[in-house]
Amino acid sequence: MFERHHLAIYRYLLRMIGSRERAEELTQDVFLRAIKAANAYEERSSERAWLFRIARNLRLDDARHARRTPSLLPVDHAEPSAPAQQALRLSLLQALAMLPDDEREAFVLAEVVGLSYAEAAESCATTTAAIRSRVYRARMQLRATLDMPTAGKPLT
Amino acid sequence: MTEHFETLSALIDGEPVAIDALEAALANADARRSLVEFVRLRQLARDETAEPRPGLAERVALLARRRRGLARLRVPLPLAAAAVVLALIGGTLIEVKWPAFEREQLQPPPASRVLQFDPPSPGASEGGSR
Repeated sequence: MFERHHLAIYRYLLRMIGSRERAEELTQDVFLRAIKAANAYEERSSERAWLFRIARNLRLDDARHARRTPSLLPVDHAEPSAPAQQALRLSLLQALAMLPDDEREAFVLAEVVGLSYAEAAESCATTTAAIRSRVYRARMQLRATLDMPTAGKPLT
Repeated sequence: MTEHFETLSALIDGEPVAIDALEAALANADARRSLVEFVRLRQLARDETAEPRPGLAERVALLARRRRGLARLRVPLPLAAAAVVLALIGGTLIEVKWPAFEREQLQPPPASRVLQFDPPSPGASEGGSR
């Protein structure tokens, strides 16, 4: 279970919290809690959605205690892409940090992690329609904030 | 217009969309541009290389083992309840026994010797020195 999901959980927490150390600690806590609560896991829900629900609850608890806000999301050290792509990615991460929490979360779950709307909805205790709308709003906001290379090009 | 963007946003996420709505969205140039930008956003978002430091799996396994060990040491509830009941019964028995023990302790010890005391006669002290 750890091998299958730890990267996705870590990346979700990193993009939501903005601190590598805290994201690691919370990733650790997610799996410890999952091991402890393994009996409570219901087969009808997806294992991934269940883990993300735990991660989300821990993140919200952490935010409540620390009153942490993701001021700047860290950029990865080993960026394989070209400088232009790198700059765009940095802009994306900064723009992401400015989004409202629920929109950022929906975008990270759908785009970064690759959860389906149903799984994201289950993790966030909401409906798929709400996730669809949040992802769309996040995309529109990011598109407006970022200087996309296709902006202004005619598409006929 | 919003509906077009939302339809294309759902489309690239592999979610079901109505064919009519998709047709209408693709007929719109702005919506088509947004589709390209959504895909670009996806590529940027998924170009994710962040990884936790090595050793996280080992740390999780170690902590899980420790917690399991502590959980094994924890006294089961029925056993704890039985200990409380026994302590209460024991306390009650001590309270019942104690007054008898205390009474025994308060009895005077048996006499080991008898001292005879003879009081002086009433006239003996009067006028003796005269």
